[in-house]
Amino acid sequence: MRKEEAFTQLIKENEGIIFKISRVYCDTLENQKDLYQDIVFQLWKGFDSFRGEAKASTWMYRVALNTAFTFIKKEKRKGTSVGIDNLHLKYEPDDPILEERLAEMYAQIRQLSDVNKGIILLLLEGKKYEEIASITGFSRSKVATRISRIKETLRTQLVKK
Amino acid sequence: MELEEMQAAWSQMSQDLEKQKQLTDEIILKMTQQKYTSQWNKIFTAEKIGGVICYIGLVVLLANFKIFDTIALQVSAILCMLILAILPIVSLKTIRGMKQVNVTKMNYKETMETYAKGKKNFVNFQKLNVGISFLFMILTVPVSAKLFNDENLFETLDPKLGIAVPFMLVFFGLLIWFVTRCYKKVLRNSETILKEIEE
Repeated sequence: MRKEEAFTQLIKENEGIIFKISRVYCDTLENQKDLYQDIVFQLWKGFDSFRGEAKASTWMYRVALNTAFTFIKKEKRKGTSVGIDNLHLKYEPDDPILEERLAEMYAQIRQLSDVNKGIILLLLEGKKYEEIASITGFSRSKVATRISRIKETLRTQLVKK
Repeated sequence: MELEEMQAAWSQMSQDLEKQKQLTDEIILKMTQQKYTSQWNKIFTAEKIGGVICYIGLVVLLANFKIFDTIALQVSAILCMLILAILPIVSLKTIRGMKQVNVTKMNYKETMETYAKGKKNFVNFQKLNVGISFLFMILTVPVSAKLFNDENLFETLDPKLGIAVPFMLVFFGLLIWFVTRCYKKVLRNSETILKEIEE
């Protein structure tokens, strides 16, 4: 399979992941689109180095989270977004209650620290502690401690409301 | 919302997204061609140009070193040359440190650490840079007077110079205050990231 084909297949299979990460890290649609494109670009740049690796999803999460972190930290960028005009980065659930809950959830996640933002995202994606540790670089025990702290923070946010 | 409720909403969203695939091969390949020019690239280019200018200045001073005929002038010229030689290297090295984040190879923790440390070094260097620039500006006055006007300011002390110095001091004092104020937030953010990683 050609590199381009293998890459587009990988992205298509995992486009939901990129969408969710973009939405967690950016609150405006414009920034979400820019981050989405940046993640795809970085994945493409590192695709050669990945091809020999065992687990595609671990690599994808790692690159996507790193890109998201540097994206929000970098100074204001000036650049050209290529070809994403046709991409409508919108998820509108049919159920208004779900929509409301998702908005509330994103608002809560965005209040977390940068480290915890990445960890909760992986936890919500159904990743096990070992996998989260492997993607983030924190030890398993640190991941466990952080998750219990995140739960506490979420409860506090709830009480404050 | 508690974690369990979040998980339920997230899982529902993930299922819906699976059904709403919207990427085409064409869109994906177009996205791989993006060209971003970040602010850091601009700074890096500006520093490179600045570095070339410094080295031109260094060559001019070296070529004309024999005209500095007193100890005071020679010391001033040597200090100027040292600043011109070392500052661009340190500056470029600091900026390169900022650009060392490799999102395709590092893990999340390493990315955050490299970014925060690089930024911290950059800010500290910028502060030092202002101080050195002040020293350089003072040293340049007698050196350039000798170089371009064959005048030894250490011997023919002009009273006008006595008025200029306090002005320069006030100007640089304001500049240092402004730079420190600008970078305070950046430094605090970097410290927060590093602390967060260690927790």
